[in-house]
Amino acid sequence: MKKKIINILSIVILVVVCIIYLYSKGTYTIYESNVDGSIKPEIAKWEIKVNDVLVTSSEVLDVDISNIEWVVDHVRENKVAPGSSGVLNVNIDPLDTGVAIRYDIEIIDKSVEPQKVLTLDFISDSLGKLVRTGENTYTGIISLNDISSGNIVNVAIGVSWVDDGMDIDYDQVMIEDDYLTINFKASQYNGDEIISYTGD
Amino acid sequence: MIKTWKEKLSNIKFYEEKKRFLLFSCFILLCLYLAFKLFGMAYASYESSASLKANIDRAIYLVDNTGMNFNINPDQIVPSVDPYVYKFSVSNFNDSLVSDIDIEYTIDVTTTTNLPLTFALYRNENWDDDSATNLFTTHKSVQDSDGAWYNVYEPEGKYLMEYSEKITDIYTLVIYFPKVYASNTDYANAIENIKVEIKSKQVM
Repeated sequence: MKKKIINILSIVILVVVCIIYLYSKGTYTIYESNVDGSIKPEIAKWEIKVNDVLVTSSEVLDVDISNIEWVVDHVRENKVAPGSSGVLNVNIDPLDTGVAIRYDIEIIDKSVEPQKVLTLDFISDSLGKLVRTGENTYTGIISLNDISSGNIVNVAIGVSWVDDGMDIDYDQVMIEDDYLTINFKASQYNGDEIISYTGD
Repeated sequence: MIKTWKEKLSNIKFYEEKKRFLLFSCFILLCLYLAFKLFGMAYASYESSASLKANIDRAIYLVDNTGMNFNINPDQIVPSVDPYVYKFSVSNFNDSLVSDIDIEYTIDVTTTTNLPLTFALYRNENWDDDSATNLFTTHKSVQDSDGAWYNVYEPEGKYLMEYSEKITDIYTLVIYFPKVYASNTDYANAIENIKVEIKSKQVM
């Protein structure tokens, strides 16, 4: 009899725990209700532009970074050569997005793939919230306050072409990915803790 | 309903039935849990990706020395009153492109020692002017691993070509093989190898 009761109690406790767990997580969304008494929740918008390109479709789009400020001596303006350093500007406009945004920027430079030309010097965002979360990944958060304030987040990526003394084949045609690869991902932020990368 | 469940539970006397009941309950709970979990993953998260392409304009590095027909035929260098005169050029542009980089370069001339030749090099001037300056003030003799000897002429200094203008430096290589050696049969079948090397690099 005792065993029977214990078994039944165990099952009931399991069910209750599951239900509590499922409903314990909060969400970061905005809902609107009509005053007429019937609740018609609208789905929160998801609209993000990166350098004026809307990136919220299902396909992975290519976004140009043309606003690069290069600094180098003995080289024609806006051209890049060994010894050059510059800043790539990435502008993230959350438009009317109705959820907080987490964005991850993965940078594959010469330190990650030696055949790349450019080396990352620094990366920072205008909100001051960028965190290194992986060996070559950086994460930032755009809160609902930032979105409602109309903030456009500028991410500055400092790069340089280090002169390693190696001869360069100037006849070789180079494409953007030969210099540097930058992958951008934006996702809904649910309040998860952003864990800093501590390295090896 | 609770009574029915009580009766049902109390009627479960055999171990196998209890076991079956517990397993069935666990299975239902697991399905419920997975259903909620997957539902949450499929519905609640927005996500977008993009590949950022940096428009990078690489500077052109250009040193062109094809502007003049420079062709030394060693077979044709025989003792002569007149020197042999060859011209070549070094430019930072060609028909379609101009260098975007400041370039500095040096010129070396390496010859074998088969013939008693002397060499002179002039830059951007007429070699036969009285005021012309021979860039070869001296030379050094080096021996390679096979034991062969070479004369190396290395003018001092480096020459600069700035990207801000199109520059062409014209060089005149003058080779002397004095007539007095015409009767010397030691050099009858000898050929001199002459190499002109232009080494350039970006100014940092």
